[in-house]
This record gives sequence, structure tokens and C-alpha cells, in this order.
Amino acid sequence: MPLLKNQRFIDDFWFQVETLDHIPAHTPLLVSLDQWQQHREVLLRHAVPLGLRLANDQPPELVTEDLAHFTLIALDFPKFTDGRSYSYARILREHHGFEGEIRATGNILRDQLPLLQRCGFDALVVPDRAESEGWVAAFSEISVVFQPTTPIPSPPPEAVTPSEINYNNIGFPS
Amino acid sequence: MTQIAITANRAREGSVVYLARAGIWSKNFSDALVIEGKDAADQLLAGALRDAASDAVIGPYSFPIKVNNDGITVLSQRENIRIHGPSVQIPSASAPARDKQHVSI
Amino acid sequence: MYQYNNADHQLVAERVEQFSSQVQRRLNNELSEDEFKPLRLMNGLYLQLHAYMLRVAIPYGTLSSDQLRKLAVIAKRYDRGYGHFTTRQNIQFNWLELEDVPNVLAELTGVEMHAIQTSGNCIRNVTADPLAGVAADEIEDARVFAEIVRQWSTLHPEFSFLPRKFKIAVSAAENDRALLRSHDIALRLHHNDAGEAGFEVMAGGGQGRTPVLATTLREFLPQAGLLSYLEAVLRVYNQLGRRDNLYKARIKILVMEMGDPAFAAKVEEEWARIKDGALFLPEADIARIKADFAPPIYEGLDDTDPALVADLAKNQGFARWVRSNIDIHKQPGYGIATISLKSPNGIPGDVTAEQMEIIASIADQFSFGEIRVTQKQNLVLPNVRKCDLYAVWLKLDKMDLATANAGLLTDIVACPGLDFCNLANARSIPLAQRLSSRFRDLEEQHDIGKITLNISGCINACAQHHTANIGILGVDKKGTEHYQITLGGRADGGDAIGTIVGPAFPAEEVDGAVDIIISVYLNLRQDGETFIATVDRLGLEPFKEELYALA
Repeated sequence: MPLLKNQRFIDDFWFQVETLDHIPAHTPLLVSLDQWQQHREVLLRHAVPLGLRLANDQPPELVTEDLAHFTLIALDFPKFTDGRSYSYARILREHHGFEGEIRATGNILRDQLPLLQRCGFDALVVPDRAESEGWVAAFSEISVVFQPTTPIPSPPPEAVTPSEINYNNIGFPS
Repeated sequence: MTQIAITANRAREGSVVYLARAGIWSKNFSDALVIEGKDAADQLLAGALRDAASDAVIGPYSFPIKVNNDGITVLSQRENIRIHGPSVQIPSASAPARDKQHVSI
Repeated sequence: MYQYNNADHQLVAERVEQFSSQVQRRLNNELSEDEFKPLRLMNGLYLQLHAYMLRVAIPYGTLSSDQLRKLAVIAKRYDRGYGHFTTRQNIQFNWLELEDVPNVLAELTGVEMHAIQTSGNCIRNVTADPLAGVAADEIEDARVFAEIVRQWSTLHPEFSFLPRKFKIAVSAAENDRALLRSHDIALRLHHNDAGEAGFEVMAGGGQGRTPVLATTLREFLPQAGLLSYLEAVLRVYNQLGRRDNLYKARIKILVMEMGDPAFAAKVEEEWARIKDGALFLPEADIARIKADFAPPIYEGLDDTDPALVADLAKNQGFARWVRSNIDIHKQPGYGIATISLKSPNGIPGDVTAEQMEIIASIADQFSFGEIRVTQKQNLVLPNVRKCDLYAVWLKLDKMDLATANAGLLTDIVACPGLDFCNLANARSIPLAQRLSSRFRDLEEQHDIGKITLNISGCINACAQHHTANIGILGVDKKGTEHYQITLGGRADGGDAIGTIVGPAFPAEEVDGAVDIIISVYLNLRQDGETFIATVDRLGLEPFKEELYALA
């Protein structure tokens, strides 16, 4: 699905792991918390960038020790009215200094984009590119804010990006 | 057999409306379609919910009515108020200054 | 009062534009009702029984005369010529059409008003002591802190999709006029033993289905920690508040389920991490907001005014009004005047456009252009010279705004009820009107003394009947309206939730039941005690016996 990252549409190069039998080589892997907890060593041996997707009843405190292994955290919104993940994103950025990509998945409304961004989300999976063309404009609809905005850090350090993969296409901010 | 009607609020201005026949809504309770029995009502309500999905109306639901020689009547205070408006005199019962066009559906 | 700066103007203007475009998309069917509903709720737009209802925010209940005049214009131009003041210090317009709403909001921005966050699962209007800034029993103006909290809570990105609505109240006075312990979070400014002014933070109060009084979360919070502490509370609630059941989603349920100590510990844990961060509130910031609430330039007057004394003697109607409707002002020679919106034939809390205009001009002439909205659905002129009270009363009296019943039996708080509200099971306004008429005699009301009577049309308890001395809840029993009575509630510093006296009364019997309750009180009271004191002393038995003829 299309990925809106840093206010641009880019292709998504992450592979969402369904079963560990079918994992492509040399591809960044997005795993669930269960998968991570059960197959941690196997996943680390793949020596690819790892992403973690959390359900919205899986708060960051469940994985704080392992955050260093991930360059992506995907936080889900099963319903746009369920705002738990806004707090999770801020906790990841502000308490744990997470510097990788935080993306929002699931049911999100266009008007929530500025809120997501201000909580530290830098990417968003959109259900349908065509319908979402107008979404980029949403970021600039509210320019005045009364609360401090959670800063989104620049790209993660080189140490977690293996050299044989060209990460320019993944769309980390230039 | 219980007799039932279907009501909703029109999205544009929030007015109370009644299903007059499939896909047609009227502001007048006297136009309300009298539906015989719960099964028929459920079917029409499903249709009404599709109208809601196309967002002409909001929140359709069915409610029991009584048919007699003079016409149809409601059985609850709530539906009574939806037909006639508040049961109390509002401070200045005037229409707003803007042009009010009577629109019938 | 607080003056918008450029940031405020811009935020509200942008928000109006954003909502206008959302309305347009809705009218063009680009947004479904399911998608539009949470958006319109964040802008205070409800769909009620007959029409859309817009709830306009009146932060901590303070209005300028210009703002009141604008509300009158909106009532005339877009509604049916009146507005309704609510128990959370807001105003509601009941008859708006969707496509007019963007225009209404645009008009409101011209006087620095809006409808942001007056509904939806977000932080709502921050309410405060309606007499803040002028009450003789306060240590500081609570509105300073209410304003700081308002800014912090406006379009807060993390807390816009909470499990449920979130209500905050602030007081800095000895007497609680803000129903603190009925709120999700309440802040009570007081002095600690060292003489410092800080907040008792109370959490987990609420009316509704499961009425509960807020408990003390923290005895003393230094002012500098106000926003970071609130952020910690909201962050815990946002993560842990229940999302599976609409009726168990308020913070009061979370506090009850976790227990006070566990909840407090979780908040303190989060607070420890953030208290020295960006939300630390320096004294300079507080001082800056305080400057916006600087008192008007009062004249140096004697507290006793001979003109007033003379006026009291020559006009009994005026004397009665002063007796009930004037509160003690901290400034000598001034009084706080309550404009009762509870005339016998009126609807509690309703004001016509004409009345609004008159009140605005009276405020300009006699109250430094300021008006307050109270949690009892009345208005207040906060700064009237005692020598002007008679002139004010004459003007109010001409407009049916001088009912001398503030704090008495016919100062009834009633929700809109089944006449207006989608959620209601029974009507509340007709009952309020009947009781108001039945007990209209002012001498009798003064004899009965201070008493609160609140009527809610459904279990959501918007009229806050649980904390009324006489609480009445309208219910639907087999398709007919019945009324359940509770006694012993209070929210006057002593806080208590009322107890049900027995089975609900059908509509034709409830007026008589209230009559019986008053009679029992008059028969059994001692030493000039108030109604609530009698109930506290004797319990419900004597009332139950008479009501249900159990003797």
C-alpha cells in the first residue's frame, strides 16, 4: 500500500512477515511482537533492518529494551477514534529516544495527519493512493499550535543499515 | 400485526423526516408509510440505512404506530415531540431571519 | 479578561476554515456521516431531536458584552431568537442548519469565540468558579489557571481521541461553586502549610450512570507542575482507559478499577519523567496570563452605601432581589448580581436575543462590560456598584430578568430533556415550569431557605441531579414518563451523592411528591437549619414515610 512519508508518497520496501517460512532475503522485515518474541535470534541473524508492528493494546514499555534493534515501529489504529497510539508514539520518541521511522497504519482520517505528525509519526500507510492525493494538504491546515511538538529525528545512524542494500529508495529524509 | 413507521433526520438541516416509500422521505408524519409487521419493517430499514450511507438522512430507525379511522398516531412521547416540536413554548417562537424555503422532498 | 493574541486568532480562524471545508465535503457526500460525525463533534455540533445543535464554548464562563451581543445576532439570524446556557458554562443554539454552521463559526471568530472541543472524546471546556476574580472568599482568580489549561488542552495532538470526554474544573475559593468533585479532574488552588499556593488535584469524579465523587490524587501540586501533571494524567488515561464499553470509558472507571494508590503511582511515574521538560510552567508565564485578568479600576467606595439602603427601604421587590441575588464582592462598595434565568414561565437557562442585548448594555453601563455564566444556568453581572443596584434591577425587571430566586427552590437546574435531546427518556422542562409556578411565592421560598433542585431527563445526568439536595431523574417506564427522586445530594463544599427515596413517580404525581418533601422538611427542621442539614440529620426515613405512606 502507498506510504505517505515526510509529506511525500513513496514506495514501501518493508516486507510484512506472515510466517517465518517465507522470508525474502535482503529485505527489511516488519514483524509482530509475537513473532519478535518467539523468533528473535532467527530474525537478528537475517542481518536486515527490522521493524516492529504493535497492536494498539501493546504499549512501548513491552519492548523498551529491544528498541535498538528496530529502525521502524508501526503503530496501528483499528479505528480512527482509538487514540492510544498517539501516546505510544510520543513515549517512543520522548522517553526512549527512538529515532527510526514511526508509521501509522489502519483506519486514519485525513484530518488526523497534523496530529499524528506532531506526536512523532513520520509515515502513514494510506489505504488508497487516489483517494489520498489531497492528504498532503492536510498537514498545513493548522499552523498554530499551543503545545510543544514532538520532534521527528533525522535518519538513524549507519550502524543499522547493512551496506549491500540501497536505502535511498526507502525514503529516509534526505 | 404491529404497525411500524420509519423516521430519520435529514442531513442538510437536521429536520425530522419519515419514510414515505422506498427512497422517499417526507417531513410530514401523515405521509409516513405504514409498514405491516417487523419483517417488512426490517427490510425497509435496511434500505433506509443505505440511504443513510449515501448520507441523505442520518440515523434511521423504526418505531411502532397505531392506525385508526382518522389516520396514524404515535405511541411514545418522543415520537410525539418529533412530530410537533418541543412541548414547551420556546422564548420567541419565530423562524430565523434567513430565507426559509419550505422544501418538501 | 483574556485577550486573544495573534496565535489564538489564527488557530481559531484555521480551525473554522478546516471545519467549513469538512462541512462542504459532507454536503457533497465526499465525507460519510460516520467520518463526519467525530469531526463535527470536535466542533461542538450535535444532531438533536429536531435539528442540529451547536454548543459554543464560553471559557470558564466569562463573556464580554460584545460577545453577548454577537450571540444575540446569531440567535436572531440563524436560530429562533434565543440561546440556552448550560451547566458547564457554555451556550447552545438548538435550531441551526448544517450549511449555516460555518457562517456562524466565522461570525464567532470576530468576537474571539468558537465551538472547538465542546463535544467529542477530547478535553472539554475548562469550567471555573463563576465568581472568580470578584468573590470575597477566593485566594486568587481561578480563571488564570483555567486559561492556561485551556490553551494547553486546545487541539492537543495526543489527547484528541480519548476513550471518552474529559472535563476539568478549577477553583481558588473557599466555597466550591464549580462542582469540583463531579469532574474528571478538578484543581483547587489553596495554601499549604508553608503558605505557598498550589493545587489539590482531584480525579475520577462524575455524574451519569455511575455517579462518583472525585478523590484526591495529589494533595499539593506546585503551580509550576500544573501542565506537566495534567499531561501525565491524560497520558495514563489515554493508554489505559477502557475502549471496549462506552459506559465504562470515563476516567472515573479507571480510577475505581485500578484503585487510588495504583492510579496515583502511575501518574507520578509518568510525571517524574516530564515535569522538568517543555511543560514546566515558569512564574513569568503565569504572570503574563495574570496580567490579562487584572481587575478593573474600581472606585474607592465605602462598603455601606446610603443610596442602596434607601432603595431597599422603598421597594420591597428590589429588597427581595438583593436578599437572594447579590453576593459579597471582594471590593468594598460593589456587589455581584445574579441574573436569574428561572422565571416561572420560562425555560431554565434560556435567554432571548432581546434579553441578551439588554444584558450586554447593562453590563457596559454598570459592570465594566463583563458577564458570567454559572453552573446553575444563570448569568451574573460581576462588578456592580452598590449604588447602581437599583437602576440595574429596574432594567432587568422590565425584561423579566429579575426573578428574586437565586439559590432558592425555584432556582431549578434542568437539562433540555426530551423536548430537545436525543438521549432523553423524559421531559424535564415542563416539570421545572410546574414546580417553578407552584412554589413561586417568594416569602415561602425564603422561608424554605437555601436549597438545590435539579432535573435530568435521562441517566446521563447533564443537570447534575446526583449532587442536588432534591434530585429528579426522568425515566421511561413502559412508555410513560416517570420521575425518580433522590435526596441529600450536595455540591456546596460538602459533597454528597443523593440517595433514591423509592419507586419513581408518574408525571402527574411528582409535583405532589416535591410538595410532600418540602412539607416534611418544614415540619421537622430545627434551629433554622437548611433543607440539606435536615436531611443529613434525619436521613431519608421521614421523607420516605410520607411519600410512600409507609407510616
